[in-house]
Order: sequence, then C-alpha cells, then structure tokens
Amino acid sequence: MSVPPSLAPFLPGGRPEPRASGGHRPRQVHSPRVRHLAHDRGVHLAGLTGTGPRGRVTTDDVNRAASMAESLPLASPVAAPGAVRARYTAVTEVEVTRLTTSPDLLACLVESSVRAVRSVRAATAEVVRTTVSVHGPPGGAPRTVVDAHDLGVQGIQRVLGASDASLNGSEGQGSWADLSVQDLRGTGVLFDVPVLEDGVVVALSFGDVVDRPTVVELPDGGRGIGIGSFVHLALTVDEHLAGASAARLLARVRQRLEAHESGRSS
Amino acid sequence: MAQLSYRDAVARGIAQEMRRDERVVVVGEDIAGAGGVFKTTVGLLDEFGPKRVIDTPISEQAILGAATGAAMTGLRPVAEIMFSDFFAVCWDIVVNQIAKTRYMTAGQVTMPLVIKTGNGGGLRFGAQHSQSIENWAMAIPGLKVVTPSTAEDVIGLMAAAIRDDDPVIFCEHKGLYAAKGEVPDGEIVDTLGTARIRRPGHDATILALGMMVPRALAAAEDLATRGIDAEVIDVRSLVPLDTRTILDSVARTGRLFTVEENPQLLGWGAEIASLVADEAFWDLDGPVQRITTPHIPLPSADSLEDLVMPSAESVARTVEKALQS
Repeated sequence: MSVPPSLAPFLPGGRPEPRASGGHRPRQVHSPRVRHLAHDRGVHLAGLTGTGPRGRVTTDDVNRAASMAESLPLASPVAAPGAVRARYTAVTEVEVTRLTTSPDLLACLVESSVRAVRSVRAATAEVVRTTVSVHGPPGGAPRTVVDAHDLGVQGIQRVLGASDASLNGSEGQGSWADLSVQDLRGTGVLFDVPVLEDGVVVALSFGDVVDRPTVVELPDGGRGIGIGSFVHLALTVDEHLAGASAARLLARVRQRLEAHESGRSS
Repeated sequence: MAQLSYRDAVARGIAQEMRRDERVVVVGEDIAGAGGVFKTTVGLLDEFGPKRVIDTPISEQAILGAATGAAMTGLRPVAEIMFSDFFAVCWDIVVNQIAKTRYMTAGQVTMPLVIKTGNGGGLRFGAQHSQSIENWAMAIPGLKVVTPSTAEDVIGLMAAAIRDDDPVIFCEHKGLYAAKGEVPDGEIVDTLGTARIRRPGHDATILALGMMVPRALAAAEDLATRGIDAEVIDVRSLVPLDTRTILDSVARTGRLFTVEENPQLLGWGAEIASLVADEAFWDLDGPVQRITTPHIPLPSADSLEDLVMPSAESVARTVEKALQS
C-alpha cells in the first residue's frame, strides 16, 4: 500500500513506499482558486484546455476564456482556444394527442423549449434574450423568432405564420439565434440528431407525429387501450450552457409540452 | 545607519531599554562578566552594573524562578536560557507559572518577562543543543513567541518584547549571530505580531522564520532565474501571528510554502496551513507544502546536519517542482 510522504512521520519506522504512479490522471483536477475564479467569471471548466503543467487549467486560462466570452454575443459559448466543445443529445417521446388537433404543435414546442432554456438561465442568473431559429418543414425558409421569451404560444404562432417571419423585433433572418427548432414533420423521420450551428446552444428536432395504441384512462377510473398521437423529441445542448444537461433540459421541454397537452399550461 | 552583527544587536536592544527604564534587569548564566556565552550581552555589566546585570548559578529553574518573582513584583527582567533546548528542564515554571499568572490573577499580576534564548541548528552542536523550540512554546496559551532574522529586527522586537506586559519567548538564532545588517541609528521599537515581506513576488508565497529567512531569499533568487517569482515573508512573530499579511499574500500568489527548521510534526507551518485551509481555501492554486527537517533529532555530523535541514537548494527544488506539477 502506498503512503503519502506527509504521513511518514506518523508511521513506525521505515521509509514509506513511493506513491504509485498511475501514468495518467483519472480526471482533470482544478485547484480551489481556479474553481472559484471560474465560478465568479461564469466560465465552465469542463471544456477548457489547460496550459499549465500536465494540462492543468490555470487562472490565466480562465481569465482568457472569460475575456473571450465577454467579447462574444451573450449566448455564445465560452471556450478557450483549442477547447473541444462537448455536445450532448437526449431523445424522448411525448404524447401530443390533443395538441395534434390544435393548429400549432410547432408553436407549443418552441414555447416549451424557450421556457426550458430560460429556466436554466434564470438559475444561473444568465438571463439574456432568447431568439429561436425555426427550420422546416423541409422546403420552407428558416424563420426567426426574436425575443421569443416575451411571447406566448399564440404570439409565437403569429410570428411563424406571418409573411415576414421576424416581425417581433428589428433583427431579421440571418441574425444569430441561441435556440433552434427543426420541424421534420411529413418526412417519415421520427427525429434527427440536431446539430448546433455557430452560436446555437440548444437545438431541438422533432419528426412525424405517429398514432399508435396506448394505455388510456377510462371514464370509470379503469385503464384501457386507446389511440394516442406521439412525437419524438431530440435535443442537443452545448456543454457551455450553464447548468444544463441534455436530459434535464429535455425533461423540462417535455414537462411543459405535457402541460399544454393536458390544458394546464397557463 | 551602521553595520551591526545580530549578536551585537541583542546587546544594543537590551541596553536601549535598560537606559529607558530602570526596571529592566538581565539575569542568566555567564551573561555579566563574560558578556554571555554567545556574546549577546557584552557591555551591559559595564554600563548598568551588577545590580541590573546578574550572573546566576547553572540552574535554569533558578534563573526563571528569580525572573518570575522579579516580574511579579515590579521589575521587567530579561532572562537568558543559554540554549533553547534547556527549556525542557524549566518547563514547569514556564508553562504553569509564567504563562498562566496573568490569567489566573484576573490581570492583577502581569508578567513583563522576556526569556531570550539561543535557538536553532546548523552549528554542529548536536541533537541536544540545536533544536528549534518555537513550536513547543507556541503550544502554550499565554506565551508570545518571537524569532527575528535581522539585526534591526533583533533590536526592535527586543524592545517591543521588553515593553510588553506578557511573557515573550525571544528566540535568537545561533546561526545568525555573526550575520551583519544595516541598522538605523537611534531608538528602534518594533511591533510584536507583524511579519515582513522581504521579497515581493507573484507566483508563490514562501514563509520562513529565523535562519530559514536568508535561505528562502536565496531560494527565491535562484527561482527567479528560472522564471518563478516567489514572495518571501519573514514571519518574525508566531504568537501573535500576522495572519493578514500571510493571507493577503496567499490571495495574491495562490501557493504557500513554509520553510521550518523544526521537525515536521506540529511545526508552526502546520498551524499556518490549517489557518490557510480555513480562511483562504478558495485562493489556493495547489496544496500547501511544508519544507521542514525530517522527524528526527538533528545529527552532529556536518554532512548529515546539512542534509536534513532545509537549504536554499531544497527550498528552490520543492517550490519549482510543486509549481510544475
């Protein structure tokens, strides 16, 4: 058994064995100072490539990353030079039996996604404008919903349905968005793994709504088999979105969508 | 401004206070006619006479017993324990009387007593005459503990210790007695509980005490040639401790090293490491590292004593290795 050198005086006789040299560190270790500074400056350490000894992240690395972030649009990820941005994707299935009959499942999804992203940002005090870029259905031009957080489902629906699809703000198409929603309905595809374009921190994709047998609650309180409509949601998140994991974020989207489905969303 | 040796500074500091306050007396073995076995009291007998500069028998208990009674009854004695190792034979009076009298009399009896002592190793005196005992003393509530590293500090801290109403253990490093330094003319009075930044730096804080201060400074100069800018702090006073200077420095540099002559267990650096863990954890950019002697008695052999005591080389090597790992 290896003994840390600092414990040597407490041991009866003999020189302690040298510490086992593992050859590699199992995980990146950040000093308290670096962790504290990163927290203060809102920098995520996981994606930083350290320039210190053995690749340790130094305070200079954190300050550099924070300075870079300050010079970028607010929603853009914080990344040090050479940092590999990790992206995580989660997939789920949601029942939208009632929503499919409503005019706009897309608007509900956009609204649910915006709320999910905003809830994460509020928790980290990183509240910024949320702009959504909506792609699809295939063949259509991408549309932009500026300041989507100021809009409800109907407002979003109105923007998406307008001929100038960016009427809720001065920025038009081509401006950066931090959330993208891809509508693949009508393609026969259940979902696509969303790709994060530059500046986009969360991307959601959904495909065909399919009907299939499902367990339903009967009026007498019992359970039976009915027909439900389901959609698959795939969500990719950039690791630099503070406090977010793809699964957690997608769970919030789903939760909100279920609220719309059950009519408890207001 | 004049060059003065550390040993001459001891006598100058005591003389300064003896001229100012006739209650100040000096007691110890061979401190009068002989001027002290380390020549730190030369000239005091001539200037102040045998009533204020008193030779004693070879009994540490007698020296401290007499000094304690004198302090309790209105004098301000400076007692010498020739080698700090000999505190071991008078510990009862130090721990149970000197340290506790002011407390146990609810402040009615003060203990304005300085116990000066030749401390530390590096002089081939062997295991029983080379110890650094600051950590023995700082474990006892009621004692103040001071270890100057320069001639000027010897005078200023001696004056502060003599003027203090509490007992002060004044550790003179034997290895520094011959060292000379610039000392201003006139009265010098310093403040207990203050550290000094001897060399400012950005990359690491090195705390040192007594003879480890010049070694830490040499290490810092060596490190500077390799791009490491170390700050060296002379702790000077362990009780009271200048925590502000230490914590501020750690906040700047993020790395702390202590250079201690004492064995590793329960050295003063462990107490400071604990303090920094409590108060400055989020400033730390790496573990606190202590550079001490191993947990062994100091050897007599030249080569072995040199090997076990922290050296400029071992300090520089430790700091550089830590900053690169």
